[in-house]
Amino acid sequence: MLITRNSAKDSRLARIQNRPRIIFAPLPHFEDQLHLISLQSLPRMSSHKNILTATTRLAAVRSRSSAATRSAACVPLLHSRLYSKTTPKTVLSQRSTVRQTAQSPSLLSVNVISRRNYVSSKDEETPEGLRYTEEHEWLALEDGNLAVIGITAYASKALGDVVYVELPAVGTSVVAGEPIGAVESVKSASDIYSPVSGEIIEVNEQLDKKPGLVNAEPYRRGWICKILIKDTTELESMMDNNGYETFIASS
Amino acid sequence: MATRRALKHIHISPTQIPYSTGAAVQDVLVKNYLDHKRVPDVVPRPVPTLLTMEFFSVYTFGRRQQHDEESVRKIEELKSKVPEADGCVTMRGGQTTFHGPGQLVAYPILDLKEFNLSTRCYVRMLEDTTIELLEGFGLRAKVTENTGVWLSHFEKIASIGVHLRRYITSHGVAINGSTDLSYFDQIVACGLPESKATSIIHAAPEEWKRQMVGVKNPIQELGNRFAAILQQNLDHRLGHGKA
Repeated sequence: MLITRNSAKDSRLARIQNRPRIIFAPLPHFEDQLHLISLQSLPRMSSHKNILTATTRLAAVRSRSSAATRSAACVPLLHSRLYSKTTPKTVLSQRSTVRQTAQSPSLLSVNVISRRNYVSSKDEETPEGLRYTEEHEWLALEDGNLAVIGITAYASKALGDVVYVELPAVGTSVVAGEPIGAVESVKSASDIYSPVSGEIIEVNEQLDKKPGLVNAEPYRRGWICKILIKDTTELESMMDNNGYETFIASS
Repeated sequence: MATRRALKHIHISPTQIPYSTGAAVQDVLVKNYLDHKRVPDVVPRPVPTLLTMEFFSVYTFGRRQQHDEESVRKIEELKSKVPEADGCVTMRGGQTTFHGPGQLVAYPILDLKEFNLSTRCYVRMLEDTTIELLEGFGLRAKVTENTGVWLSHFEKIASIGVHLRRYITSHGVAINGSTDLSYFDQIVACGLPESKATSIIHAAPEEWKRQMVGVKNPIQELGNRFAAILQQNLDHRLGHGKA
């Protein structure tokens, strides 16, 4: 149900293009009735009419959706700062036909997209579109300069069942390569290193009660912390998914 | 077949040392390794080392317990109940354990990447080394779903807690040789209430006496044996020695 037709006139299009673009795409999964897809990966927005259509469809879906998802972000959220823990997962529908757009000259030139934009209902071993370090951490960019960090599926398997995650304090300034916490499995505790420099904006409090999320969903609910990046050039030196797969195959 | 890496064995002083001394020596070795990783041209590659030592009475806690309020309360309680023993929070995994005279503490400081070991394989290797060491006393030890090395389902003879920084290991194993087991009554070792601690002298007294009859420092002797077995296991890992 994704709206992709691009039929607006130039002037209207120009006006619309300046507007933040939001698309709602209900999916068959119970938990994922409503999805919010971040604006970077969208095609050029369709007409104004289609935005309205989207909104009315949203209203219809909203009335049908369960209470759990109603509490999630039904309101168009334009900035990731507004995301709370209840932000729904955003996975493109298998039936969607999103065209890849020309990327704007911004952080997207680094070709890192939000982890929410890969098509799968299970955690892939090495999802595309994320960046990886040799210490087996992954990084995804949410809106703007906000990086989300976690450890890869390879690392979580190597550790075994995670029993405790030592999270950094919110507001700490970190330097790339500095330890920011640790992941403890039944028999050992391994340090986590920050791939980038910046400030820690948010940590995943769910890991206090459910450290097993790091094993179960290392790329999704098992994220560890969010860092506001100071210098985006650090991202360019990180590996992409192919580079990382080569790296783990050779080690 | 990778180059054989000989393990250097350092036993810290023939008698007991405070926990802080052992921790400091360990930190120096780990820092050396980390510096080598950071600037490989400046710092030469360190040699994998096994540190063995014997501590004065001390209760140590894992990194989980430094922030948790309940743990902090328990730490205070322990300090008041057993004043002669120190208390120290460490960065290793695992929970509360006791170190003291009569206990071999073995900390291998090595780079797992050199030996192509994952975390779990390394811990498994430590467990196997301990089991082989105990076989020398006629004890059939085993591994259960809980950490450590056990003689039976509820008798724990060795505890394990490792800390990893960029694949550099620190901390390791603590094997009860002739430890005073009453210290373990005060703590729930590694969070398992039904378990109790045992030691080699408790489980196989005649063997221990027979083998340690002329030995000036039995813990150092245990350490030497542990080093030999660990070297064998590492060689085996890299493909050297007997298959």
